Amino acid sequence: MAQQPVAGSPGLFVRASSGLVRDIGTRDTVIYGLNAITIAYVTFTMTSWALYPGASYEWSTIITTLGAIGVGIVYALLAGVYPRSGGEYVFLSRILRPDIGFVISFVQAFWYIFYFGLNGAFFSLFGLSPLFTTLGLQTGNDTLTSIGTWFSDPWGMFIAGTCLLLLVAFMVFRGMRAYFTFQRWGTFIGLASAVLTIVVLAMGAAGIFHFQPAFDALAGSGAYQAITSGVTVPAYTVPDTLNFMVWPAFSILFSVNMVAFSGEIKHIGRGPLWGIIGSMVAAGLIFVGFMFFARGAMSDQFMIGAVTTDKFPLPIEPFINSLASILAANPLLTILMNLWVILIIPYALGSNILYASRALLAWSIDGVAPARLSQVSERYHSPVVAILVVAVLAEIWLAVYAFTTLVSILSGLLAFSIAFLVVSLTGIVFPWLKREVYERSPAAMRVAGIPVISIAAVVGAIFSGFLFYRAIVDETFGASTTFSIEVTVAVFIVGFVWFYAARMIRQQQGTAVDQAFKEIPVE
Amino acid sequence: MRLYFCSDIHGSEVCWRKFLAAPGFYDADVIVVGGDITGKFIVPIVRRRNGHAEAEFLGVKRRTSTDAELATLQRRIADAGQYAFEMTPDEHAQIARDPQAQDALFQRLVGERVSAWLELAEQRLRGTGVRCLVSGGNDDYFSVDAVLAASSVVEDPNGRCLELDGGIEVIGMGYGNQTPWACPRDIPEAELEDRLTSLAAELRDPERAIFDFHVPPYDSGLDTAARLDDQLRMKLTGSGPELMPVGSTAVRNAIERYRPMLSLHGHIHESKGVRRIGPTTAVNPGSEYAEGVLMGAVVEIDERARVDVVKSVRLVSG
Repeated sequence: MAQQPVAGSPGLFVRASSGLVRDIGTRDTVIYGLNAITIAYVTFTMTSWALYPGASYEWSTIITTLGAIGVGIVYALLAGVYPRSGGEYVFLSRILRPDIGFVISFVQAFWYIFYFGLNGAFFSLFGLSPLFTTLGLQTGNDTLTSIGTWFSDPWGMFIAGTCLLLLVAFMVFRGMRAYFTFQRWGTFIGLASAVLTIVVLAMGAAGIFHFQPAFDALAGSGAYQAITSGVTVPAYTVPDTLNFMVWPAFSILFSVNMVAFSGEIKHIGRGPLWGIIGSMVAAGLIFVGFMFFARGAMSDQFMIGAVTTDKFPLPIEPFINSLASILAANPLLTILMNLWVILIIPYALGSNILYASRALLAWSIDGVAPARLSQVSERYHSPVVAILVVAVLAEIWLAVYAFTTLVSILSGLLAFSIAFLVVSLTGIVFPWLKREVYERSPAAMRVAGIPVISIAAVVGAIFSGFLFYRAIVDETFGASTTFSIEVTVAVFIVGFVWFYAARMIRQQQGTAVDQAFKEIPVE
Repeated sequence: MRLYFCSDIHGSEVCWRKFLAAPGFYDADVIVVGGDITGKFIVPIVRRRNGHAEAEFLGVKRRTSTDAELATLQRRIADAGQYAFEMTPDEHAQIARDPQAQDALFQRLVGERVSAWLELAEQRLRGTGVRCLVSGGNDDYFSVDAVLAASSVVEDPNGRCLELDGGIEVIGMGYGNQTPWACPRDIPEAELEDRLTSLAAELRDPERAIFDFHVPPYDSGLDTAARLDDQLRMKLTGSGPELMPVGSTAVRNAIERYRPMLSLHGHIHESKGVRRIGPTTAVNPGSEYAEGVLMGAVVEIDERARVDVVKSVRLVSG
């Protein structure tokens, strides 16, 4: 029996058949994308700004958001063309070549594993340490202060990070339901905590809270003045503003990890497209909101001086969650205003392990990785071997970050910018390279006769290309290190070698790996 | 023996053509479509007085000015598994108001496409020695069965037992457990269990048999779909749609009870994979029919063996 369309195109006739789901609402996809952005990274993004004299944080964030939207549109439209593709791996394999698709997936998985480890350290360094130290200072409890400073020590980061890493890996192993339950609550409370922090900063900017006396009350009389004296705030310049983009980009770009949610009645605008764009805009506003009100509450001189001079007297790093807590001067508010970092960073770990373990599973199913990687727990249906491999490798990276100076926060940006660049370049040529696929897809939208995906991809390619360049040359605050560049290059080479070695092994076993993606020719 | 299996091509013209080319491409001796062979949508192409034609296809408005452009649009609609149908604005308005008229139009277009497909199968497969098994799934009208039965090269295993080389038997089941959409072949689990039990009773050697059941076994990892709310909207979590098992307990019970060597499934497009249930290798190749991609599984079978008959399963997207 025919029925009215449940969603989608007016005039389309639909019959009773399974799988006809309504598209997820734009609001839900925006919240999802906002999660993927990890707004907790505002902590180090704001701190690093002090090291870019002449950069307008706000304009840099706005330009970053526009560039990221270019990349985001490409991802959203390609996801609409290949809705169950699982991201870059399959659509690059199909549009370009299987080896390119695999290598980009391999590189992304490698660096997601890296960040699965590093985010454990970030949880300790940017979340637990500011919370306990600030609470200790505000309550006069030296034990809390000691605990807080321990969380920023190598062993503190390693142990706290390991605990979180194992917890997240265990929840993913136990099945996504447990993880989702944790995550749902963590998301709501974390976002509420972030909004509370912005409100407190706004109250400081409006003169309701007063930062200088609150800071001096903890750090000693005249401490604020000592930090700000002699600090000059340079005028904004375009080059410095553009150079700073690597920091907000490191968060805002990752909304593209949103998978496609569209049902079979496709209406691409209601799927990931507005989710990605909306979440990038929302994240940009949050980033700008934090900075705009922080300037008003604490002054540019203080924010620069706290990072660039050795006059900051407290046993904490001048992260925004700590500074906002000092501003409010209330232990309860301190707890509430540190929750956004503590609750949102575990989400980043979850995304990291999910991406990496699913990639390993997909390679295994396609025959380019050992079959054991696709072994699934009979009880929980989770890829247990893949999860274990990811967790062990991440633990090694956590140790490297905690105990050495070989790697830094942005070490993976170079590789990610290459991946985004490849996807953007693919988006430019896709309508011509795969014309038939493009024309019969929901991405077949044009402006003045030019495919929208190509226009967006040009913006995305310029933006990603600039990030790639900056990731190589920017040595500020460890944005890049020689080791990072060497590892990035090595991972690409290993990816190619891996693919062709796997193909050779499978061919000797009588299996053609290429055939897994090869289109069947039709007459 | 090499068997190629796919499912849920949902009326996609290009997927059917790829399916018929699969014996040559994958060197397969037996090719199988596991149900849901018909499409879900009619795309009205509305003719305007100026000779232009307009349609909204995959959420994008399409306009054609020439017969060649119209033919291209119709082909693309067919490749996506949908049915293009030309009509005037008045006819469109009239059909849009009348569910029975829509139903009749669906029945007609579905029947015409399946008949055309079988004619093509006759041309491509006759004399090749390739066994071609095609059955309806829970989404397919019952009228499809009669069309399939008229073919001389396509065999329908739905509700019966067929024998392949080496005495390997295949039983098929297009009925499925109930879905939120009340599809033509949705039935309660108890009824499905009865049907499977009586069908399996026809097997001489269940442990060397192949189950070609459209719906996957419950909680097997081959049946994971998005949890829906009352409005049939996906429930979203921070990592995407919330997922849940939606397969059939009756199918799972049948697999665990009769322990066939191979169990082939479709139905849940987004849940491709290969799983072991006891000694049974269970497969769902997934489906991306709307994109014109034919997801499939290439299964190597040693029909002379008594044990370890299934040598390997390789998932492919062609």
